[in-house]
Amino acid sequence: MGEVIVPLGMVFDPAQTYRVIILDIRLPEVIACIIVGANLAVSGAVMQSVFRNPLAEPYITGTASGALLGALIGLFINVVLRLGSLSSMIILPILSFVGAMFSIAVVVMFGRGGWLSLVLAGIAVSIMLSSAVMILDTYLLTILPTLPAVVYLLFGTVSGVNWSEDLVMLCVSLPVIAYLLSSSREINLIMMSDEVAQASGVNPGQTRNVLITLTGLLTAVSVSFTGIIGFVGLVTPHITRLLISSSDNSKVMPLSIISGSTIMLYANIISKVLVPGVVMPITAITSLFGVPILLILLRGGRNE
Amino acid sequence: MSNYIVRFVNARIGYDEPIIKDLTLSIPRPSLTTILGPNGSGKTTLLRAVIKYAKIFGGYVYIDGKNLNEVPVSNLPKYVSYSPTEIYSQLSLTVLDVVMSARNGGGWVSEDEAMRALKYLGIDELAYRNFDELSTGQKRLVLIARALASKAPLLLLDEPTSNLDLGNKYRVISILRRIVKDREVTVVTAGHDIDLAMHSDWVIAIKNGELLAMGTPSDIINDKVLSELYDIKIEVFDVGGRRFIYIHGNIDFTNDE
Repeated sequence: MGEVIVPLGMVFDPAQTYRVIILDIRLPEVIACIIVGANLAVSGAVMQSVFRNPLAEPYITGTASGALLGALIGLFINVVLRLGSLSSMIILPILSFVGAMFSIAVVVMFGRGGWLSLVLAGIAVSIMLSSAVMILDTYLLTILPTLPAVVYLLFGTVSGVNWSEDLVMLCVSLPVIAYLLSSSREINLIMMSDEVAQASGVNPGQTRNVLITLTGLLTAVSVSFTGIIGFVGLVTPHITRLLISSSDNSKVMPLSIISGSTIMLYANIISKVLVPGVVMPITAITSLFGVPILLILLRGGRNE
Repeated sequence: MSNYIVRFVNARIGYDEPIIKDLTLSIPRPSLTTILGPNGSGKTTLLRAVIKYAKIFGGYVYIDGKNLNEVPVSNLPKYVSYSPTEIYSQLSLTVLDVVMSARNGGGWVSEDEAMRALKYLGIDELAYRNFDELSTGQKRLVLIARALASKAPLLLLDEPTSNLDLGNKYRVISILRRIVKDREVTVVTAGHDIDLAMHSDWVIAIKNGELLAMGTPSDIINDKVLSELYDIKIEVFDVGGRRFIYIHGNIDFTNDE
């Protein structure tokens, strides 16, 4: 899918070509950017708070890798059983969620010894799951060399997302995000200390499990349709906290949603104009810009 | 209303297995109560038992006359507030954010209530400062303000005077005394501060998960109990109405130049 420049006045042109490009190709991508950016950013903010770990986010904790493996297994089942695209929109997110929960459970189990051990366990599990993804993917490409979804998922891109996929993402994300936003005070308590949360009437173990499950859901529904998009979940909450100089989740979470979506929209534009005529995977752009920002943040934090 | 805000009856408490083996004690109200004990004796576990953060394997724990097993976690704020020694440090929360994170029975502490608690402790000018940038002493006062704002009848403070210089330590002690007198709440602290114990109404000495002694400071702050509690020779002198503690330890000072 190459680059097509649509003249501004031609958006509502009765001639079908431009309208199709705008309404059925570009617009679903833009909506996907907004939803996925919000999902990743809010997941990062929640994970960083409940693990009390500045590096926690869906990518680094292995959740995204588990979700990707789950989604690929879903794709595989869908292909083998010759189910239609409608069932793939249900099977992929469900198996992706199972994969996400499996990997986060393993990471939490082995990563109990402090914030660094959680990160190391996450990286280890990610590497292992990525190997499984490679094996499954190579096999899928061998039996079905023309299946575009495989390529899309592996690359982390919003290209090719359609309206029905947007709808599935929206139906899952909206209630989950609404619930997370309404729990900001409970999240703040767990961020301070488990005992403080408990004495304040918030069972830290149970609440943490619920919150992590919900971030798994947001990650799974995003990864199912756009693959792994790195660093938005990690960097966005940090940028937001820095901008408002506050870790209060009643402010950080809603503002992260806005910044996460904005970052994704810009990354989407850059992915199209970087090399004219070629659409780059969006994850390449988010990582390319996200990592330097993270490094600058790390330095800034030390100088304070 | 019972005379005791907390009672442990043959309680066995711990995490994977019991650390506290068979503990019976009571904490009078209102009082400033200090729990003393060597490292690993179960002081913090005892405080955590009251907020149901440690597991009760057997026996009973009563809070305000009520069996703790019958108090759901969501109702705990009506009975108790807990202040740790420190909270997670990589936060930028204002002092007001920290105090307003406390529960006020069923709801949340309002900005008004938070400011009143800060004003009571004379630290209202810190309200909009970043909690992380405060000194250790100021942080302790903020955590005490948070406990106070909760309006719970029982405030549990884990090591409220540790790592404080002498001046700040006595400021915290006198504030705790003032809170107990003014508000008629019970403040229970755990730690190693014998000065704080001397200024308390009630002292509980625990060792290896068992009660060694319980009583008024004069019952506990004496040669016999302290020496046994810490396994070193400690002498307590009363001179001119003042109490002095001399710790012999096992160090021989005679050869020192």
